[in-house]
Amino acid sequence: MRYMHLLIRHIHRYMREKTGIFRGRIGGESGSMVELQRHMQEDGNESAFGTDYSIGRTVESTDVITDHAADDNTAVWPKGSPEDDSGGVAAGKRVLVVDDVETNRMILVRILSMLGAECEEACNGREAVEQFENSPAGAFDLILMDVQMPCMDGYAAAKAIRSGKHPQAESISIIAMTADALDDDIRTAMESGMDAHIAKPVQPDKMQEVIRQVFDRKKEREK
Amino acid sequence: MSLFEELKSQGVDVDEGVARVMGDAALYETMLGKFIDTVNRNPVSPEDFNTKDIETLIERVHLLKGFTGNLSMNTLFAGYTQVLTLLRAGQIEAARMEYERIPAAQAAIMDCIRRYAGV
Repeated sequence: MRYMHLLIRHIHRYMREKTGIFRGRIGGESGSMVELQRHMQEDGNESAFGTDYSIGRTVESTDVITDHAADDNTAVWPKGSPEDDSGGVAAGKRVLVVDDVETNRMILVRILSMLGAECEEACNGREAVEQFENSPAGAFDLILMDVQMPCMDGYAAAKAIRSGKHPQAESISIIAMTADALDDDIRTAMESGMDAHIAKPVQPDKMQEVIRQVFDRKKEREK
Repeated sequence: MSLFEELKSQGVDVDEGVARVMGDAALYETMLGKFIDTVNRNPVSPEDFNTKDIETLIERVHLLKGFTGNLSMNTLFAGYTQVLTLLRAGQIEAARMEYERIPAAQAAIMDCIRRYAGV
């Protein structure tokens, strides 16, 4: 499992460096994986996953992946990250990242990936509602929702999700992200059905703390 | 002097910015390149404050505020934050005066990025 986290992180990094941003879930699209393999081969890294790596195939080259991990010792690993044997705060969680600004999504996906999450992205509230409504039950554990967006803002999107027919409409955790952490913003976020609030620019430590609190509260409610 | 050192001398909190992307300095550099692109595609000038299309101006300032915040370009972030607050309050002339402090500092940072990153 430890190596799978490292593999996911490497995939995220390669896709982000080669395409600017990683979209979609790991293993979700064969095209992405083929493209990833091509990029890695071009960079002389084909041995990392083997030349016949494909979706669903068990990763066997753990020794090679470990070597790659050793190369990354200079990276800053947050306490509780996937590299920590105790697992990241978002390990195994599936997160829908909603923000109209590409670089904001890049940062959020980067942080969440390091915390062990798999991410999908939406560019505005309407897209987020559609993605959530069309997803099977359990597809997402958390929605990180920007507030100020075109088409449909985060407040309206949260309300639409809560009043929808999806099996998780009431239970899905939603965290608001606002540029101004004013009391009114936080109150509006809560009134629209969101569970918590993070101020932008996002700080990784703060985000980790808020995600942990949200999941802990949800666990308490489900007891 | 390196790119990061020079950015620090321009008031950019590079360490905080890199920490925001979990220590991934390469990603931070990529975002610096995207900053140049974003500024070029969303130009703001003092004349824009005299137009009727304040909504577009607000959108652009909002975008640049977010971008500079993410990159911990603290001087620019503070400036854009103030401009945005004034624009949303309908204080257009005050916003324009506040904005006039930004271009020189922004140009210096962009010049630095261009020289080192080749973008």
